[in-house]
Amino acid sequence: MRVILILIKKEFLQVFRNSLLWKILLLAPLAEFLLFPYTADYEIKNVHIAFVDHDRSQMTSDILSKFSASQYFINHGIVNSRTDAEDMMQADEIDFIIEFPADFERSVITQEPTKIGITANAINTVKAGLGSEYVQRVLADYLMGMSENAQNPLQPQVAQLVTTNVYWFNEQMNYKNVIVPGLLIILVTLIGAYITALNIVREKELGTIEQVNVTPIKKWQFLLGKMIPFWILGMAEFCIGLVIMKLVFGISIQGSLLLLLGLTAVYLLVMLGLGFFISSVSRNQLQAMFIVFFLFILFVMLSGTFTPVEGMPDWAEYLNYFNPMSFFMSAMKTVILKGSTVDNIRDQFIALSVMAVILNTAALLSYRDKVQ
Amino acid sequence: MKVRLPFRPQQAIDTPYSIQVEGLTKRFGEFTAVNHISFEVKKGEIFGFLGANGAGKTTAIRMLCSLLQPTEGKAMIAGYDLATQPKLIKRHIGYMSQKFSLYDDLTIFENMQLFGTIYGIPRKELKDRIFSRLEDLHLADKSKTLVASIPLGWKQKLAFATAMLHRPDIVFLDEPTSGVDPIVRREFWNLIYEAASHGVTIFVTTHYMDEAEYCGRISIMSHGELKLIGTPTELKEQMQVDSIEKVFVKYVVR
Amino acid sequence: MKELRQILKKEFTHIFRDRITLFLVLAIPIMLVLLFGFTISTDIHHATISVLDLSNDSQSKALVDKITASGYFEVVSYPKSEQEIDNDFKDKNIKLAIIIPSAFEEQLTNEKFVTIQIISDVSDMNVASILNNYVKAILNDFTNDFNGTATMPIELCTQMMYNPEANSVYMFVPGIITLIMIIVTALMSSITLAREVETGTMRMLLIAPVNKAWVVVGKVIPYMILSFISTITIIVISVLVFKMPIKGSVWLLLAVCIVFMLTSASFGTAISSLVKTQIDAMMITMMGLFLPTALLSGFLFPIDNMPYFFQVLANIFPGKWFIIAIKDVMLKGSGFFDIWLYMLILFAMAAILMTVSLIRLDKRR
Repeated sequence: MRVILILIKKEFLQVFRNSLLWKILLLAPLAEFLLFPYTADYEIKNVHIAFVDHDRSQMTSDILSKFSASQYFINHGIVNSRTDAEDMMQADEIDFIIEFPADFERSVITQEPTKIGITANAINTVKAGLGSEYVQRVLADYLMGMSENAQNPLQPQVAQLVTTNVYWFNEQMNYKNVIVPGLLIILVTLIGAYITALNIVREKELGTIEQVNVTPIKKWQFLLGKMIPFWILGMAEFCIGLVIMKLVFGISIQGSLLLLLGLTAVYLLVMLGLGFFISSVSRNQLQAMFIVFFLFILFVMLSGTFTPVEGMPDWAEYLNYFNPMSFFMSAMKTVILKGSTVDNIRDQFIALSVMAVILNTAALLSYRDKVQ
Repeated sequence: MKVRLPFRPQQAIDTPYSIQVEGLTKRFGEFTAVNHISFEVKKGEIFGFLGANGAGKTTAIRMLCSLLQPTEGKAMIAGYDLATQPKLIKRHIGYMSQKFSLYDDLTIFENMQLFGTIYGIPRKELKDRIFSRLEDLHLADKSKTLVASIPLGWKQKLAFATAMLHRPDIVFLDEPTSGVDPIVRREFWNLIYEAASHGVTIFVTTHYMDEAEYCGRISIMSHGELKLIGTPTELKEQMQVDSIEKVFVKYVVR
Repeated sequence: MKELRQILKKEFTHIFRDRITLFLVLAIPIMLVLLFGFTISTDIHHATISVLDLSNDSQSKALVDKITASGYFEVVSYPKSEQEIDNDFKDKNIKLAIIIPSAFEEQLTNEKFVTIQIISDVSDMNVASILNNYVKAILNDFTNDFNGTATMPIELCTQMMYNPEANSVYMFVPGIITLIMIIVTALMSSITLAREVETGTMRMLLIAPVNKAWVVVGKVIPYMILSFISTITIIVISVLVFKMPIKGSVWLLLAVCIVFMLTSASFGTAISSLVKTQIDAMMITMMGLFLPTALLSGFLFPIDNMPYFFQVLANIFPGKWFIIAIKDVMLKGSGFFDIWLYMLILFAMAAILMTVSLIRLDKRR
C-alpha cells in the first residue's frame, strides 16, 4: 500500500511540476468547450443564392423576395447571364443558381408545363442537399399560396397530410446540447488514453523505468501506481467539464449525476487500460502516439459524434461493438439529455466493464519488467 | 571523505561467492552480444568489467540484474538463481545504469524517498538513512533541489547513494564515472571503497583503464567474449607490461 | 551542405531502423482515408423508429408500408400508447416516432386534411432534421398517390455542379488530406525535435559547430518526404477508390501540397521550440493545430455558419487555405492564377514560423 501511495505521489508531482502539461490539462477543456460548440454547427444557414431570370416578370420578382425573406438564404439578386452566375460559383461567392426560363409567368398561369433550373455547388454535399430542400420548400410555399388564393381554402380539392413536429430531449433545438456532451467524452478519452499511453513509453525512452524495474516492485503495484493518478486526473477533468457544461451552456443533467460519474469511472478504466497496453507494447512515444491517434480517430468517427451512425455501412456498425467510445457516447447522451436510468443503459455498462477487464488484464500481461 | 555504512547482518550464503556465472549468452537475432561468459565474484570483492564500447558489458550487467532475459546460461546472484528467483535477487542488489535514470523532475529527497519506499524501508528509518547519506555527500541542504538542475557529478553520487539505500549485498555499477571530471571520479571511487569495506560486493564496468587499477580483480571483454580475468597485477605480469592500459592495447592489437 | 547531408543521413538511418514506426507512419494514413471514405456519409439508412398507428385501417397500413419500403427506416416497435414511446426512445434508442391519428382513412377521404405527429429525438439534431425531411418526402409521395396528382405543377431541374453524383467523399477527401498531412508533418517534426530536447541530444547538436538551421532542416526534411509519400498515396486512393476527379493540373496539386508541407513542418518546428517534452509537443500540436484545423478549416463544419470571431480566427490556421486550394484544383479545375494567393499565404506562414523558431532555438542554446 505504501508503495502504491508513493508511486501516486510521484506521478502527481511529475504532472504538477511540468507546468506546461498542467496548463494544457486545465486549458484543454476550456479551449475545447469554447471552440467546438460555436464552430461545430452543422445546421445549414446562410445559403448564398443568385438568380438568372430570363422572364423578368412580376411572378419571378415575387419569388425572389420570398427568398430574400427566408432566414436561410442570402440573396445575391439577379445576375445578367448564366456565365456570370457560374463564375460567381467558381469563386465560391454563391452556392445556388436559380434560373427562370423566358415566359415562366405565362406558362404558370396558362398551366403549361415549365421548369425552374436549380444549380447547386455540390462540393459540400450537405449544403447542396439541404439547400435544395429549402429551395424547394420556398418554391412550394409560394405556389401553394398562389393556388390557395385561386381556390376556396375551406374546401381543398385534394387531400393534404400535414405534420406537427414535436422535438424531444432538446426542445430548443440547441446544437450545443448535442455537441457538448460529445465533447466531454472526447476530452475524457484524450486525457485517459493519450497521456497514459505516452507515460510508460516516456519512462522507457528516458531510462527511468530501468531503475524501477531493478527493484523488487510487483507489476500490479507499478500499474496501479500509474493508473490511479491518471484515473483521478480524468475524473477531475470530467467534473470540470460538467461544471462548464452546466454554467456556460446551461445544459442540465436529466438523469442521475451519480450514474454519470459511475459510467465515466468505468470508461476511464477502459481508456487507461488501453493507454497502458499501447504504452507497454510501443518502443517509443512516436509509435504510441500514432497508435493512439489512429484508434482515437477510429473511435470518434465510428461513434457517430460527427456523422450519423445510421449512415455507415453495416461493417462499420459491427465494428462499433468493439468501440468503447460508442457505448459511452450513447449511454452519456441518453443519461444527460433523456434522463435514462441504470436499467436503460445496462448493456453499455456491461460492455464497458468487460472491455475494462480485458484491456487491463492485457496491460498487466504485456508489461514486461524484463526485456526479452 | 568518510562514508558511514551501517553494518549489515551477515547473510547465510553457502558459497563464498556472491556472483557465479556460467555460460551466460545473449543473442539478438543473428548478433551475439554476450557469448558464453563464465566467472565468479567473491563476496566483498571489487570486480571490474573492462571493454571497449559495444563489447557487451552493459548487456551482461543487465542480464545479471534481471533486466534482460538471457538466451542461455545460468547465474547465481547473492545466493539466488537468476532463472527462478528474480524477485529475491532484486531485493539484494543495487543498480546504477550507464545513463542517469533517476527522475529529473523530482527533487533529490523525493527520488530517494520513492526508491527507498519501493524497497520497503520503514518511513522513519528511511528518512534517517536518506539524510545521513546526504550529509555524507554534502548534499543535505540541496535535498529539495530538482535533480534536473544539479551537475552531473552530483547526479552520479546521488544515483550511487540511491542504489545503496536498501543496503544491498551486491551493487552493479555500469560506467558510473563516464563523463565526470577526475576529481569527482576520485571521490566516487572513495565511495566504492567505503562500500566494499562494509562487505558489499561491487561489480563495476568501465572503459577508463586507470580505474581498472583500483579493482580487486578485473576481466576484459571483447566482442561479447570474456578474454582475460585476474588481478591487475596478474594480468600485467602475464602480458609483461606495466599498466592495464597496455594490457588492453596489447590485447586489442593482438 | 555537407553538414546537412550528415544530419539527413542520421535521421534517415533512425527512420529506417525503426521499422514499426515507419510502417505506422505510412499505413495509418491509408487506413484513415479508407475509414473516412467509407464511413463518412450524411445519407441515412435503416434509422430505427416507432410507429403508433391509432387507426389501423387500410390507408394507415399503406402509409406504414410506404415508410418501411423507403429503406430509410426500420420500424423496431409498434407501441400501444404514447407512454410506451418515451421508453422506446430511452431503451431502444429510436430516432423518431410517428403517430398516425385515429380514423385516418376516413379523415383523409372526407375532410381531406390529416395531421400526423412526428416526435424526433433532437439529441442528435442532424439526424433528426434529415429524417424529418425523409418523412415529409414520403408523406408527400403518399398524398400524391392518394390524390393521383402532383402538388407541384412546375418541374424543378436540379443540377449538381462539380460533383454530379453528390458524393460526400468530394467534400471530405480534401479535409482528410489536410489532417493527415498535419499529423505526419507537423506532429512528427515537432515530436522528433522535442525528443532530441527531452533526451538531451539536442544540446549536443546545438553545441556542435554546425549551422543550427541545418539541424532543424535536416530533422524536418525526412518527415516531409514521408508526408509527401503519404499524400501521394492518399490522392491515388481518393482517385482510384473514391473516384475523386483531378480536374486541374496534377503538378499544381503537388506543388500546393509541397507548400502546405512546408507550412506544417514550420508549425511543428515552432511548437517544438516551445516545449521540453514530447508529451507537451503532442498535446500542443493536437490541441493547438489539429483540433482547430479540423474545426475551423471548413472541412467538417461550414465556416460561414460560425460566429464572426471564429471566421476571422480560421484565417490563421493554414488548413483553411490549403483546403480551398486543393478543392479548387481537384474539383473545379482551377489554375495557378486562381490559387496563387492561397499558396502565397501558406508560404508566408512557413517563412515567418521558421524564422521565429530558429531564433528561439538560438536563444535556447
